[in-house]
Amino acid sequence: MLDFTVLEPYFPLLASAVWITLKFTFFSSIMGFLGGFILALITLSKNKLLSFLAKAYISVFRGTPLLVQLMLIYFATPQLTSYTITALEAGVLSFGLNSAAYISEALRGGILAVDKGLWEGAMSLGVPKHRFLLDIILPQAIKNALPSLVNESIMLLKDSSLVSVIGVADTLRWADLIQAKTFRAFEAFIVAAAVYYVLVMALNFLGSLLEKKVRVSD
Amino acid sequence: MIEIKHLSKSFGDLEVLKDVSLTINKGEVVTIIGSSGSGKSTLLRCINLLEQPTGGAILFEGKDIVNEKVRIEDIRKNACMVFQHFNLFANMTVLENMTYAPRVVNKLSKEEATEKALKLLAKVNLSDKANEYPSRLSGGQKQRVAIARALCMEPKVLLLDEPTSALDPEMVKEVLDVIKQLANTGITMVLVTHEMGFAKDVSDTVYFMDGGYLIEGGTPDEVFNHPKTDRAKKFLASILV
Repeated sequence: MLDFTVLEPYFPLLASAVWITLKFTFFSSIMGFLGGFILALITLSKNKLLSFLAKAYISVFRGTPLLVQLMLIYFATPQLTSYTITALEAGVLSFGLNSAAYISEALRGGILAVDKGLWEGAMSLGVPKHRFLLDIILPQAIKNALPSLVNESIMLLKDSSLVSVIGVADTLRWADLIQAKTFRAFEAFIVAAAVYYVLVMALNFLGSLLEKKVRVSD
Repeated sequence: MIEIKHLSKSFGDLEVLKDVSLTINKGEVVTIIGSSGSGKSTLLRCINLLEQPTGGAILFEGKDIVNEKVRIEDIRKNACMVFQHFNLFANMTVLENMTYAPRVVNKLSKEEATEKALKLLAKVNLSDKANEYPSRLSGGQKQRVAIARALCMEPKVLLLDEPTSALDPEMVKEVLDVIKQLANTGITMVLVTHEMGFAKDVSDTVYFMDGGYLIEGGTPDEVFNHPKTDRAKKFLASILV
């Protein structure tokens, strides 16, 4: 009944598809993290206008579906500007912008959980503000927010399957093509599901290693 | 070295410092006493601009740091503070805590900073804790690290804000011993404390504050044994010296 051997010729393709999935996840995580840190600092800053803008940004990106954001960026960019955005760029951009909104909330909590006394401790030694933020607040905020950050990268990994909609040859797209060619829907999609599961478990494992590493100071 | 003239500080409508004037000489150990809420800590925090005074002047080596344009970091690196709650950097080891500011602010090399830190750590009897994280230390040990950390900056004045108030009773002595040892090295020091016996013992000059005013000041003998004002008499009578 089930026949996985029909998939065999397509496994090399699967490898490159998985690679694309990983690439998306990696780049959008980086972008989401950097954007999220900046957004978190802005929302916590005393500048009311900037803080309002950051909050509006977070509200919009958390309040609309990721798929809509992806399609808007991919299809509307060429219409509004003369720039033909590639699927990879549109994907990384929309996922990065979207996860920045979520990550900023996690980091904001992480920053607020850092002992306020450290600020005075650093200030009273003449440490400039930017160094304090980078060397003392950021490491502790990451530590505090690590479970949510790992969670967010897992979400990104799974959500990366949305790029198949705009024609990127990622893992899900691979399964879709294969089932069209072989009429073996179950085999194709179950393999894709298994691939995602293994990748998520691997991320989870990396996350717990990282957690152990940052907890040495506890 | 530090001349405070008619200093005032308000938080909104609340006036916590009123027309405070005093002079701190080089090498002098100054203690500020008084009941809670009398403005002692605020006065101390004004000296390194952790609080921005609302009136008056502070001349730090002749330069008015309240009214003239100064780089705030330049003041603070010369007037390092030790806090009631230690405020050690939780993500750094004891050694990293001590070498961080000297490297970042004073641009010392890692080797120079480490050498200096290890010497100071030996002075506070914590050489064996150099690579521990603050979370593994007792309160008394944390405070001794905090003192050593401040000294590592070689500040012109050391400010201590109730350094033993958050400690368990059995740890107070180890910290006071370190401060006493320091007081004898000729360092300029301003100490806010509730340890009256200690204040009497180490200070060159004692000031008594009440309700935001500097009520009186003088040698420990003058202030503790022959207080001139009724308020000081009342305060001293209410506590055990």
